[in-house]
Amino acid sequence: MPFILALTPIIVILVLMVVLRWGAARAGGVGYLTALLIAITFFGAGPQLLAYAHTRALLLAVDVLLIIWAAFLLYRVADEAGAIRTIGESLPYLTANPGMQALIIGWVFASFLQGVGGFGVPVAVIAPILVGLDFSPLAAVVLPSIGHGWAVTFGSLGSSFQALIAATGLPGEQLAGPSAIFLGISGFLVGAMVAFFVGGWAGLKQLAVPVLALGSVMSLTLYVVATAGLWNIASFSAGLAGLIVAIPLAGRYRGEQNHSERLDSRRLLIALSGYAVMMIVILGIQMIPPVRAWLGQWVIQINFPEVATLGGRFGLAPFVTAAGPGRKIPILRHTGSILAYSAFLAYLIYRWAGWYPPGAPRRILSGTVRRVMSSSVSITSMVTMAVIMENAGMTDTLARGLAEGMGAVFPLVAPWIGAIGAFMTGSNTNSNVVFGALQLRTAQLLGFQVAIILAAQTAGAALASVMAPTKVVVGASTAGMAGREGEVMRTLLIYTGLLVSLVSILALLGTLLAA
Amino acid sequence: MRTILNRLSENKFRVHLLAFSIMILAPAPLYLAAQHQATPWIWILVALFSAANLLVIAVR
Repeated sequence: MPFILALTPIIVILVLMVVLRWGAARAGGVGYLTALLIAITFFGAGPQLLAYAHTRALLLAVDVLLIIWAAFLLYRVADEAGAIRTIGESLPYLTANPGMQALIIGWVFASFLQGVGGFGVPVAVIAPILVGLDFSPLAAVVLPSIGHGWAVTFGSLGSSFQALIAATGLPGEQLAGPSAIFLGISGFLVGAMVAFFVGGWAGLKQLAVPVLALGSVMSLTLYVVATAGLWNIASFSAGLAGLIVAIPLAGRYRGEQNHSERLDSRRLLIALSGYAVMMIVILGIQMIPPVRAWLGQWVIQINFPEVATLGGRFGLAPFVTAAGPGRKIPILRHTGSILAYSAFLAYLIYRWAGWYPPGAPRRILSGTVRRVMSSSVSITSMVTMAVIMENAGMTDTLARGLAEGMGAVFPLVAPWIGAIGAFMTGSNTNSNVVFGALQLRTAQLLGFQVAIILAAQTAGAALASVMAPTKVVVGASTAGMAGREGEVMRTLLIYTGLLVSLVSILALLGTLLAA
Repeated sequence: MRTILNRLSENKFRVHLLAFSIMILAPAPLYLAAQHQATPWIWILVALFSAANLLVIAVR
C-alpha cells in the first residue's frame, strides 16, 4: 500500500499528460497537490518538514531555471537577428547528396542547435529546411527528431544535466563521464539511423564512413568537454566539431549542385560569432582563476536543520532528512549568469552588424519571458513535488519497492524509467527532476554504481524526450504535418525503442564491469 | 464558473506569471515561519502555494 501511494503522484502526471494530453504546467500542479496530500495524510509530513521542503525546492528550481531562462534569451538574441536562419540556409551549399544532407542537417546541425537552444528548437528550425530540400514531411520531422536526441542531456547549455546534479546532490564530475559515454555511443547509432532512414541499407553502406567519422568526432568531443567540467557546452562543442568536420567531408559527397548564388561566407561568420562569443566567455571564466574566484564571491546558500516525518500510517518508521546546506548558487558565476553575459555580448555583435530591425530588444525580452513562463511554472511545481516526496520518505518507499521487485535486472530498467519520465513530462530535465532521487536511492539499496544508473536515467530520458507529444506536435506543425502526429510517433517509437534498448544493455554491461 | 475558467484561459500568461511569482516568493516566509515554529503561518503559506497550483490547473 505505501508503494502504491508513493507512486500515485507520478502515475497522476503520467495519466494527465499521456492519456488526457494535459500540458506539463497543469499536470505538474496536480502532481504537486497529490504529493502534498499523500505526504501529509499517509506519510506523516508535518508543517516544519513541508516548510523546509518548499524552500529546498525553490533553490533547486532556481538552479535549473536560471540556465533555461538565459539559454532561451541567447537563442532569441540570435534568432531575432536572423543568425539561426543564416546558419541553416548555408548548410545545403555543402552537398546536394540527400543522405549527406540528412546527416549534416538532420544529425550534426540538429545536435548543434540542441546544444545552444533546445526546447524543441532543432525540429522546429530544421523541418522546414528539409522540406525545402525536397525531403518528405515525415522525413523532415523524423530526421532531426532522431538526430538531436543524443545531445539533449548536455544540450540547452546543460540544463538537463544540471537538473540531474540538483536532484541527486551528486557532483557533476562523477556523473559526466558515464553519461557522456552512454550518449556518445548512442550518437553513432543515431547517425546510422539517419542514414538508414533516407537510403535504407544501401544508403547506410554508402554513408558508413561519414557516419563513423562524424560520430567519432562528436562523441569524443562530448566526452572530453563534459569530463573537463564544461558540461554546459558539451553538446554545443560536439555539434560545432561535427560541423567543422562535415565541411571537408561533404566535399566527397557533393552530388549535383543546383544553387544559382554563392554562399555568403561573411554573413555566415557573423551569424556564428554570437556563439563564438559564448564559448570565449565560458572558457574565460572557467580557465582564468582570478575571474572565476571574483565572480564566485557572491553565493546564495541556506542551511537546513534535520527534519523527520511523524511516522505515518501503515507502521512506517519516521523518515529522517539530515541537516545540511541546500543547493549552493554562485549567483554571478552560475551557468545561467554566464549565458546572460554571452547573450548581451552576442546582442552587441549583431547590433553592430546592423542585423536587428527596430524594436528588437523589446521583442527579444518579451519573447523570452512568454516562452519560458509555462515551463518555469511546471518545473517549479514538479521540483517541489519531487522534494516533498523525497523528504516525506515517499521516494525511499518507491526505491525500496523497486529494489525488491527488480533486483539484478534494475540496470536494464533504469533507462526506461528515464524514458517514460521524459515522454510524460516532455523533457529530459523534468524526468531527471522527478526520477533522479528515486534512481539514486534504488541504486544505493541494490549496491549498483550510482553514476552508471543515473547516466542510464538521463540517457534514456534524452533519447525518448524526442517523442514527447508536445515536441511531436511542434515538429509536425512546422513540417505541414499537423493532424498526422500519430504517424510521426509510430515511426519515432521504433527508433527510440532501439536507442533506449542500447542504453539498457550499456547500463547492464557498465554495472557488471564496475562490479 | 465556466466564465471564470474561460477568463483565466484567455489570460494564460498573466495567470502563469502570478502563480510563478507566488511559488518563488512563498518559500522565503515559509523558511522564516519554520525557524520561528509559527505553524499557522506555515499552513497559510502552503495553502497559498497550493492555490497558485490550482490557478495553473484551471488554465486550459
